[in-house]
Amino acid sequence: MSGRRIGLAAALALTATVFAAARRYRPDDAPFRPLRDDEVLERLAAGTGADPELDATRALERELARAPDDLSIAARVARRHIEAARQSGDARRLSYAEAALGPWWSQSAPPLGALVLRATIRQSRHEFDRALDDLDAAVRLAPGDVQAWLTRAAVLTARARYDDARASCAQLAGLASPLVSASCAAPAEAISGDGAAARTRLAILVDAPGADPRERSWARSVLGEVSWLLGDSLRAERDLRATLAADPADTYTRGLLCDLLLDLDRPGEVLTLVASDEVNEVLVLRRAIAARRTGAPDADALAQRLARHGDALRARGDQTHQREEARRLLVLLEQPQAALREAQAGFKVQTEPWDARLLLEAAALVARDPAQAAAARAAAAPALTWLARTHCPWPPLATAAKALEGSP
Amino acid sequence: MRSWVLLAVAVALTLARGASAHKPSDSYLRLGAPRSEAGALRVPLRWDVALRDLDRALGLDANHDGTITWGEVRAGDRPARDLLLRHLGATQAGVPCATSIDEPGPPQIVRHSDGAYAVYALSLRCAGGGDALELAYSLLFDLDPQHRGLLRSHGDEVTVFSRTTRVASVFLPAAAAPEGRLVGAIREGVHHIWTGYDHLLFLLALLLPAVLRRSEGRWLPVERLRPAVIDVLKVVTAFTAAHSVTLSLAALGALALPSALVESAIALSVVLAALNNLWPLVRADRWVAAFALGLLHGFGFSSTLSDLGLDRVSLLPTLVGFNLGVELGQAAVVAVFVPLAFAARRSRFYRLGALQLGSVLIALVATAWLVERAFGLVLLSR
Repeated sequence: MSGRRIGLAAALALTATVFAAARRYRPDDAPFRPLRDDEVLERLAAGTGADPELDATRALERELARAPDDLSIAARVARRHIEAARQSGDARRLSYAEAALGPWWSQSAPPLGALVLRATIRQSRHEFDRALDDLDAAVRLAPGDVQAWLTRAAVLTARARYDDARASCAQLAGLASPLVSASCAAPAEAISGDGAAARTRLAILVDAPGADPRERSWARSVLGEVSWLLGDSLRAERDLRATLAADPADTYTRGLLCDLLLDLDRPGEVLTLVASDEVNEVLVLRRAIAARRTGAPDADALAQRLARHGDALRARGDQTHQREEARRLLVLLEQPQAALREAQAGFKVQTEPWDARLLLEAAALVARDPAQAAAARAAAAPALTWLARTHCPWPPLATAAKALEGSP
Repeated sequence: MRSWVLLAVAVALTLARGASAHKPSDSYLRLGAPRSEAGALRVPLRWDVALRDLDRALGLDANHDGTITWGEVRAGDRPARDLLLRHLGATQAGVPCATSIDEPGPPQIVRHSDGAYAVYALSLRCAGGGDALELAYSLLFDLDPQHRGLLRSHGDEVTVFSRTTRVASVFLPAAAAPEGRLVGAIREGVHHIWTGYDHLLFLLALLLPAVLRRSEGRWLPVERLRPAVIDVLKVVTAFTAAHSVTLSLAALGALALPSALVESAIALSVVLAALNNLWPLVRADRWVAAFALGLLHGFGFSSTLSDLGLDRVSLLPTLVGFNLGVELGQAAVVAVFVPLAFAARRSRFYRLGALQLGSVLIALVATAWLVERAFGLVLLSR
């Protein structure tokens, strides 16, 4: 071998080493000691600067520490944490709410105030049956409790008991505004049949003069979601964008709009809707999907971050992330088998259009392999049964069901 | 009441509609390999606790500005140690173990999927005998009922502590004998040099010109292998000797530098070593430069070494073994590189492709590392 050839080989080996080093170097995992005292390591709240909400909650908590058996203080603390959890999606805040309710948390028949708050926390952890027990007890104790009826309707919708959900919303007549009643029932009605009428009613009420701004904002988001379920993505996008314009901190609506844009194959707009340093994992998944589709440079980093997040949740035995996990496996990692298992488990707990869609889509992909088609169809059977029962009009459901039918 | 109804509307519907976006609170515990020490068993335990959780328990955010800074972590170090030691107990066959955090100074910081964590290195000293260890965990449960402690013990088995499961028994492998420790440290040293890309690139940058000599501003091939080998040996040995010194000093706790500074300086040293091949400033005495920069690289090794679980008894065999392993790993690189380079030294390709282009590439990669480490940016995909 000539010196020249060996030189070439050495240069190639060197280049390969350099690129391997560049690709595999990962300083993230390594513990470190920062250089400067003013280096910020963690943010306790969204945005910058002091958080008056957090300070006020802490002051209340100190008050509660002096009188831990005072339900009126405990309920105020719990409400503040629940509201913060709603805005930020931070599960820690829900747990702090549970801590405030400590003396009542494991009672079989706690007072009304504790009952409804406990149900709200349980529902957010997808403990739907236990939440329903609490809410049934609450409406027996206080048939005029708006929050109990609303929460009950939401839980019943998540459990695919649409008639019961609508009956729960009907109880709001005279207790809450017509706009709240209509918004309460619209999702159940859109899923199970009377979507067009529900949407018309809600659309009239939402633009009626004199409506409360917060009720209106929430109702408009529901209207956007209902329009999408009915296949009207134009109207859906308009209402979701209007909701966000009024309340940019509404992360739920932001996620909804991202989903819609991804379905409309406009991933570029998702990248502008979710910043690269977003901390909310639900939104990060939307950005990761959009980044993958557009070839954005942070696609791999986002996917790895979500994988670590999923691993951490699995390690602690969390069950509430199944829908998101199924979607990550299906869309981001293109692992339909694993996604199917996750979606199958998730559908048993939460039965909403997205849960059905992921189960059907994962099954349709798995069923492309003739050897696995029968098993995939069996796994998706609960979603098909649900679809046949509800006639939910959301177009992706019919598309996925047809793909599954057409498989070998 | 009115506003509470509104709050309820929003809460009821959004919580029902969306999954929680963040993970609930976890802490991560990892049991290290037990070692015999003065008639007892010392079990190292690394404990990562989220800064947000320390703030919840201790109010780390002293100035209430909604952020936790490194200064606040350092100021909260003492109460954090007390908190951790109060909430973790260990017994062996019914005999309580002594728990302590031996390392002085503030914790290290590590980033997990949901934010920054403080890393504390605990020692459990147990004299009860047997191959089981009972652990009792009670961190945060009163403040955060959904908190979990995830313990990774021998064989990557995971135990979950929760408010209702606060006690667990884990299997403890037999303590490593001193000679086993030496072999393990040697293996770790070899592994470190082969997977520590910055050290490997630094070594390559030093080795590339070893089969050439500089004459009137041009690189010419050396005539014989012997002087080239001697030159390489001088460079590599100077490097090893120097990093042994600083590594030992750092491991003994006599010297400490912030790791961000060390990592940045190491990246800079790789840049300089590569640039020196393109515009030579340091020539005949490259071993002197290797020694100087080796002092710096020794600090970089010390973080790896602390993962091995150092204590006074095992310090010497571990240090000797690790340095020996690094030297062996380097020798293997040299043994492959030098004959190839010597054979290729006369080719134009070696001078241009390997030396010049190779040095340019090394300098570019190391510059990217430098910028990343100094400014916390992400340039290279990971």
